[in-house]
Parts: sequence; C-alpha cells; structure tokens
Amino acid sequence: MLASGLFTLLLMVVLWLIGYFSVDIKLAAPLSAPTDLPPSREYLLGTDSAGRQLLAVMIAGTPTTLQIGLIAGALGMFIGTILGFTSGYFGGVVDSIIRSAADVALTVPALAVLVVIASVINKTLSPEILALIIASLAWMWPTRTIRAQVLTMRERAYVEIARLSGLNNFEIIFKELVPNLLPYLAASFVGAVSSSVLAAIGLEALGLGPQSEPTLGMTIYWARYYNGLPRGMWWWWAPPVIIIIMLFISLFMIASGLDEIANPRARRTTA
Amino acid sequence: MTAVLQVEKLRVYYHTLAGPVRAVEDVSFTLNKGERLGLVGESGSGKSTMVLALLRMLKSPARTEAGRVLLNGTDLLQLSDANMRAARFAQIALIPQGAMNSLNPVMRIKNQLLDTIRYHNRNGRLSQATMMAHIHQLLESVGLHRDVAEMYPHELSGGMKQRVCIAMGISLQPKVILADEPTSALDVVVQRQVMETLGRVQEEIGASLILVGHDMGLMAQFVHTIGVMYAGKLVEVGPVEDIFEEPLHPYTQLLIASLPSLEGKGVFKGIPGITPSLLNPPSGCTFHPRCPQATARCKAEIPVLQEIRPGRWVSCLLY
Amino acid sequence: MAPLLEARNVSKVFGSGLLSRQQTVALQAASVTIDDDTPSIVAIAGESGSGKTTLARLLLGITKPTTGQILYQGRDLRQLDGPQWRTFRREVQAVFQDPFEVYNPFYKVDHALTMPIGKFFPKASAVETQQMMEEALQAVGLRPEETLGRYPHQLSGGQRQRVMVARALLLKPRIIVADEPVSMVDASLRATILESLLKVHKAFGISIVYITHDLTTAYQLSERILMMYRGNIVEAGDVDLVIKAPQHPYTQLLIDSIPLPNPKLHWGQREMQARQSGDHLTAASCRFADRCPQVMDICCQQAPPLYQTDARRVVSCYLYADAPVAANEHATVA
Repeated sequence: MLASGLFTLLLMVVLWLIGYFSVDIKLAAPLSAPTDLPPSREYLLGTDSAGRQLLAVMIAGTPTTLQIGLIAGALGMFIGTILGFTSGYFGGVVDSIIRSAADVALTVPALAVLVVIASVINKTLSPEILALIIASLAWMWPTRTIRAQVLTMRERAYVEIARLSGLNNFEIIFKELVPNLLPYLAASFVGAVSSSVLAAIGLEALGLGPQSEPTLGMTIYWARYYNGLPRGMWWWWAPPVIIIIMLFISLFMIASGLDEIANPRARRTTA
Repeated sequence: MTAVLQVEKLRVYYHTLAGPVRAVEDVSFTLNKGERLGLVGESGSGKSTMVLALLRMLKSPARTEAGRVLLNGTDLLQLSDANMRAARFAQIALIPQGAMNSLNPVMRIKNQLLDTIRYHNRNGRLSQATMMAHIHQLLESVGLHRDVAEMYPHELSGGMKQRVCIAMGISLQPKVILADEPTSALDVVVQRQVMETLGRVQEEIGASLILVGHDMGLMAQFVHTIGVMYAGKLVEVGPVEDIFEEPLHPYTQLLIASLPSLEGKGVFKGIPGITPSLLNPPSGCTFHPRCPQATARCKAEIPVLQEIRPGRWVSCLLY
Repeated sequence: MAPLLEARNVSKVFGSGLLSRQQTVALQAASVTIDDDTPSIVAIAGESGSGKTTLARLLLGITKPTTGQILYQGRDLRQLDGPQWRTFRREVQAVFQDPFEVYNPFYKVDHALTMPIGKFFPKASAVETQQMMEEALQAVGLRPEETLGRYPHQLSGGQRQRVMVARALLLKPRIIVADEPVSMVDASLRATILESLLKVHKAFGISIVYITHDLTTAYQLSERILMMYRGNIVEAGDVDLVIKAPQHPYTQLLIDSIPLPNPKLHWGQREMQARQSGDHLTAASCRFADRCPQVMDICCQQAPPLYQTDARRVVSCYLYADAPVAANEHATVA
C-alpha cells in the first residue's frame, strides 16, 4: 500500500515538474488567452471565462493547494504532538485540562466555523492565513490519538527499566517513546495533511479562498460561478477534480501503508 | 488397547518469505482409548502447531504438508470442510491455551455453551429445556454450581473460567480431548483442582486426552504416556514412570536433570545453547549442537523414531 | 546492624480516591528487611494477587506505600535528597518478568546497557563503556560478540533475561530485586539464569530479593522465604523450615499441590476445601479463613499476628497462639 501511494504521488510530482518547466505559469493569470476555448493543440486544457490558461492554472495551483495542506497539517500535528505527549505522559490535572479542551473543540462543527471565520476576514485572505485557520481546528484529533498511544506505552516494561536506569521524564519521552511512535506520527501527519487539503478545497470551492491565487478549489469555484457546468466546459472543472481525487488516493494509501508499519511494531508479540 | 487416534508422519510448515519453517516434521504416534498422552516441549518445539493441525485449524502461512490423522479409522485431513466442522467438538475437542480469554465477555455462560450444542444440533429437535438441563449437568460435572450458567465471564475467577472451557470442550462427549496448556495462568492449588476435574470428566465420558505443555511436573502427576518434542520432532515416547526413571534421549535426560526439585539446594543444571532455527535446522540430528553425547555421525545422519523396547520409542543414533 | 533496605509495616491500597470506587488492598502491614553487612537471598513467594509484586515495586521505589515506610540505609525514600536518591537508584536494581517487553523494540539490546552507563558514569569514554558492558555480559555467562549489536527478537528469551541481569550488574548494585525472572523462560534455560543470579550473589556480594510463585526454585535459590497470601505475610523464615515443615495451613496446601516431577510422589495428599461463602468474614478477618480446613471462630473475627514459633520462623495463624508474638515488625529477619 505504501509503495503504491508513494508511487502515485511521485508520478504526480514528475508530471508536475514536466509541466513546470514546459509551461509558463504566468499564463495562469486572467486575460492571458482568449476565453472559453476548449482543449486544442495550443491550449492543452483550454481556457476559462476569465482568459486563464487552464493547464497553467493546474500547474500553478496544485502546489499551492498542497502547500496549504502541508502548513496546516504540520502546524496541527506539531501542536497535537506536544499536547498529546504532555497529556498522556504526565496525566493528572494537565491531562484533564488538555483533554477537555480537545473534546470541546472536537464538538465544534469545523467546516461551519471555518466558513464563518473565512467570510469575516475574506478581504485579506492569503494561502498562509487559510492554512492557519485550518490548523486551529486540526490539532484536536492528533492530540487525542497521540495521547492514547502514549498512555499505552507509558506503562511498558522498557519505560520502567529506563526509569530504573536513572532517566528523567523528558529523556524517557524523547529517547524511549518518540522513536517508537515515529511511524504512527508519520501516518497521522499524512492524515492531517489530507484532511487539511480537503478543508482548504472546501472553503475555496465555496468562494472563501484567496481570490487572486489560482488554486484547485478556486478553479472549481470559478467554474461554478461562471456556469461552466451547464455550458459543458468539462475541461474547466474536470481536471481539478481528477487531480484532487488522485491526490487524495495517494495520500490515503501512504497513510494506510504507514499505519500498517506502525501497528505490527506496536503490537509485537513475544516469541 | 484400541487405538483411537493415529497420527502418521504429520508435517506442518509455515511458508514465510524467508522460506519454509519446519514447525512439525514427520511426527507419528498412537493414542489409545482412555489413555492420557502428554506432549512436552519448549517454545518452538511445534506442539501447539500440531494441536491446531490435528483440528485443521491452522491459519496461513501454516500448512499441513503431509501425513494422516486417523480418528477411529477416518483420516481427518481428507474430510470435507463441512464434515470436519461436524467432527470438531463432537469427535475431537480442544481446550485452548489461555482459554479464559476465549470466552466472550458480553455473553452469559449459558449462551456460550448453547452455541456449541445448537450448532451440532441443527437437525435435531432438542427443546430449550432439554438443552438447559444438559448445560446444568455439564457445569456440575466440572464442579461448578448450575447458577454459573447465568453469569458473565468477568464474574468468575480464573479457575472457574477454565472449568467452563473444559465444560465446552466435553459438551458433545468427544472421543479425543486436546488440552493445550489448560492451566498455565492458574496458581498451583487451582491447577490441581482443575486437572483433577479434567481427569475425572475424561474418565467419565471414556475419552482419550492429549495434554500439551512444558511443565514436566504436571505431566508426571497426570499423564500415562509422555512424548517429548524438540524442534518439531518427536524424540522420545514412553510410559511416564519409565521416562522419569530412565530417560533415553539425551535431550530428555538434560531436561529432567534441569528440573528444580526440593532435594538439592543451589544446584542448577541448564541445557547449554539455544533452540535451533526451524528455518535452517542443523544438519543430521537437530539436537547435535547441544548434545553432550554427539558424535560425528550425528551431524550427518537424521535419526528416526524407533521402538527399541515394547512401548519405548526413541529417535537417537545412540540406539 | 542497620538494615540496608527495609519495608516497615507497609500497606498499599489501590483505588483510594475522590470517587469511591472499589478499593483493593494489595498489601497489608508487610515488613521485610535486607541486611547491610551480610549479603543474603530472600524469596518472596505467593500466587497472583498475593501482593508479592506490589511489595517488590515498593522496595524498588517505583510505587509509594499508602501507609508505612520504605527505608534505605535508615532513611525514608520520600525524604531522600537528589544525591541520596541517585545512590539508591544505583544500588537497588531490578530484573523483570517479561524478557521481551523490557526492551525498547526500536533499539538494539546494547541500548539497555548503555543507558544506565550514560546516566551514572557520564564521563566514561567509549572504550570504558564497551569494557563495562563486556565484563557484565561475561559475568552472566554470555559472549559479548554473540549478544551485542543484536535486536531483542534475535536473541532467545533466556539470553535476553541474562542481558537484563547483566544490566542490573553494570551499576555495581547492593541489591537486585528479581520479579519472577524465569517464569516466562523455557524450562531448560531457567536453571542457567538462576545460576547466574547465584553466581552474582557469591562473586559480588549482592543481595537478591527473588519474587516467585514457584516454591521449588525459591527453595533452591534462597536462604529465607516470605510466604504471602492475599496481601499478608502468612509465614516467613528459614527456607528449610518453611518449605520442608510448613506450619501455616496455606503453606501446607501450597506445598502439597506442587506437581513434583516424580510420578511416584502424588500431589494432593491433603484434601482441599472449596472456597466457602465469605459472608461472615470482614476486612479484619484472617484472609485465609474461607479456605482453611482448620478455621476457628476467632479467625473470622480478627486476623492473627505473627507468632515466633522458632528462632528462625514466624507464622501468622492462631493454631500457634501458644508461641510468643513476634517481637517487632522486624521479626521476619532470620
């Protein structure tokens, strides 16, 4: 699974690289070509109603979408990891506070909140700010799951041996627990990235994304805004959808593959 | 002495990426009616694998490669899946290791016992009342009060749970009972109670028993015949008193010598070396790297299990 | 003759908190002493639920007692300052039951040895560290070249356990607490591990606290034994007396039920009582009252104290009420 996921992602990266070096991305800007043209030899993916060359838009937009997902995912994981370890390892009052905070935040309907926030600060929205907004609601799940993992590992015999060998709490966390959790953290990270990407695309498709940047989600938004569907302009909305699907499938397979590696390690039975 | 179970040259391999792991290699033995056979071996000796193989409960990548398992003349390995399911628990039953954990925590005991009875009674017309009476009788036969039927597993102690598992094993009055370390998690006193129950029940229904384990002391107290397994092979078989008094195979000798006793203090005699890899077993006799009586011949020739005296089988080039 | 490590009338109750959940009394009024001058081997024996592991964890300082004290060199563990705690940590080491779980699967087995060296001998060079590891491994009969550099799953259970004993040795401790060190190891390898513990005791003068449920190995290894039942010490003293001539009904029952590897000596000469209903028993009764074939009325009212029936043995049973009550809680010292 891991292999197929990585391969698909790699394939996409290679295709993107080819595109990046062969197409001028300035053509992704509006009015760089005649509007509403179906795919032809000159414009491989046609153009949209604002005169953007769609091939250029795809090449320019995909990394932006991915970038939002990566920043949000990384930030969410970072916060989640710190909180999860603290909560799981130290227990007590600290655990109760963090856990309650995460539980409350989880009950919040994320997309609704994101929509509200995004529509309030619509004017100055950039991909980075979008990423921050998404991250603010992406930390809870990693916190809970990492806390659960730490709880199971905290009472393990090798942790007790480490204590008897004189290690203090931080040394135990970093030297004994984190290495064993690396596959799990990696799988969680990929999961966080893909859910952040989904949230970003969702917001953009609703029109709440960065207006001036070409991203996959915004393309879908513009396609709807300019009635691309009833007009049969499949070259406008189909490419972003296909790219999104492939992206998700590859990320999902990577996460599943990493999870498979993580679990047998965590549940190794005695010989 | 009629033979109830005859195992002939049973071979079970685990097919791993690194190659076939020979878990059970050419094992043959006979179990007579009413007999208690103890299969002794350490981890990696293949005894648990063999139990599963007899019941055809092996999971991939394990596979029975060769051999016959004759239960009253019928080869279990050749039966269709449906017939094998009918035979399991009705003819040959299992009391598995850690059986206490195989009880469904959200079902009452009576329902778990009913499961087995109902499945094997699909075509019969036993009424609910008759089945419940049967269950009460079963529980009492293993020394439990009939009220236990209404309880959940977590309300019972370890010994009681184990006895419920024994009840499940004998519920259909099988001809052969396979008990895989049935008392490993129990303390000595409860162990004695459970084993005495098992023995009594076995005699009452006229079944034969195979006890698989690594506790030689338990074997000495309970079984009639002992079979010693090492690295997937049966290396010695014989009556229990003879084996303890005069062990023939060097491994058996070392094993018995290493047992702690209340006679000597401060004397510890372990067996040097480590258990052999079943993926790349040593050439010739698998025990030769650790055998104090090994000769050059042992490295080249594979010994065969032979009956050197009536009732005494050894697989060693010394004989 | 100040004791080196001492448990003084300790009790441990689990589940005592704000929420009134069911309280489990794991240990009740237990006392053990390990001497300072002569190294000794003492066994703490009992079945699961007897409190022996709880007592071991209290002695190791991993758990804190609910009442009572654990004293190291006369000082309560809770009152040790930084350097004193480090000394305690170094001088009291452990070997645990599961030879696989004690290793972090991410690292090679060397990690288990380099960890304590790194903490307690931070100035040791790489060469010195290697030398210390090799010496410790050889002291338990392992060959460094066959053991170091391997992952835990590449060694057998017996080897892994011996590496743990070597780890315990590295810090040159005064006491090693071995909690069921051989119960998860194959029968043929048990003798080797117990032998290495004995060797270590004789060669380096390390006292051993051997926790087990196996009375035969306890008899073979130790000089003194404490028999535990449901959190209480029921009988203690010289191992030859307790095992060969047991006085407490529980000890008698236990020894009678040991499956001896001799087909001619049958177990179960003594009749066993099924567990009686415990309605008339309270938390103050003798814990064995519901199973005791010789139970009397007084047993149901109050738990018996430890009686000194011999210079080298104490028993907690009213059958021996003629004997003097053990002088103080240190009576379990031989």
